[in-house]
Amino acid sequence: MPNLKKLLQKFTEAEFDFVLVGGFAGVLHGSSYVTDDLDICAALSPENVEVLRNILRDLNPTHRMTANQLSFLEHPKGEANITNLYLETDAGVVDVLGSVLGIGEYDRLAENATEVPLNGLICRVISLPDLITAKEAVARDKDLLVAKELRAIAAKRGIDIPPPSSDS
Amino acid sequence: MSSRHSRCWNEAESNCGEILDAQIVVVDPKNEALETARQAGIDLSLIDSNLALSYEERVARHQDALELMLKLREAGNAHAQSKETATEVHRG
Repeated sequence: MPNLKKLLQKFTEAEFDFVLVGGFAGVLHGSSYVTDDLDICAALSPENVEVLRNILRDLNPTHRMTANQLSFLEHPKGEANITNLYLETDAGVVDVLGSVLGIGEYDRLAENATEVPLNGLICRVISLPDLITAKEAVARDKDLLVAKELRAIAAKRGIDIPPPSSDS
Repeated sequence: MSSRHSRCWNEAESNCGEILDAQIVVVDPKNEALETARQAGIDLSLIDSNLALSYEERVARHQDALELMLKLREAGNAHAQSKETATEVHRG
């Protein structure tokens, strides 16, 4: 059974710079949509990949998009150029993204991130306006529906959001 | 908010005896966002309920919902499989 709460706790406790993005970020902003994976954005330098391996070591992380479910603990080897990591762990699916569509790379996301107190620690979460922009940029039906809910959340919280672009 | 008024756009046109009726509607973007969400079938009371929770409570509520969703999915799959087996037995 996925335990995203446990997964997020592991990332938050570790000395690892990341920003929570995707559906679970929406949950922290007040969304009622259920997601079954955890998406985070981080700079995927070789050093950070090693930190990630250490965080996930006891959760049997594998590359879920590979035919043989290669172990993340062993692959990729060396200083491979990694853009995104699509992992499956004993606590659920984790996607580690180097950038977010419509927003940009980790540094840009981190600039506007919201610091959320969680169990005595601070978790950095993509800002509500950035999350809406990202969802509208992906523009799948389910993302557009979530974006409508997030816009309603922003309205209730008195946060001004520019209107959606005409093509979303 | 809306107001309805008649107006002569300029003297030249008014000479033609035309009076234009214009309806000015000022849309509050916040109300529009709520209305768009409502029309999409989003339950706005759930948003109020979520916003009243602490961050820890939001995470815990989501975990409960996820577990329930997966159990229902599992039960649905088991039911579909048992129906399939029953059909096969009936055919056999």
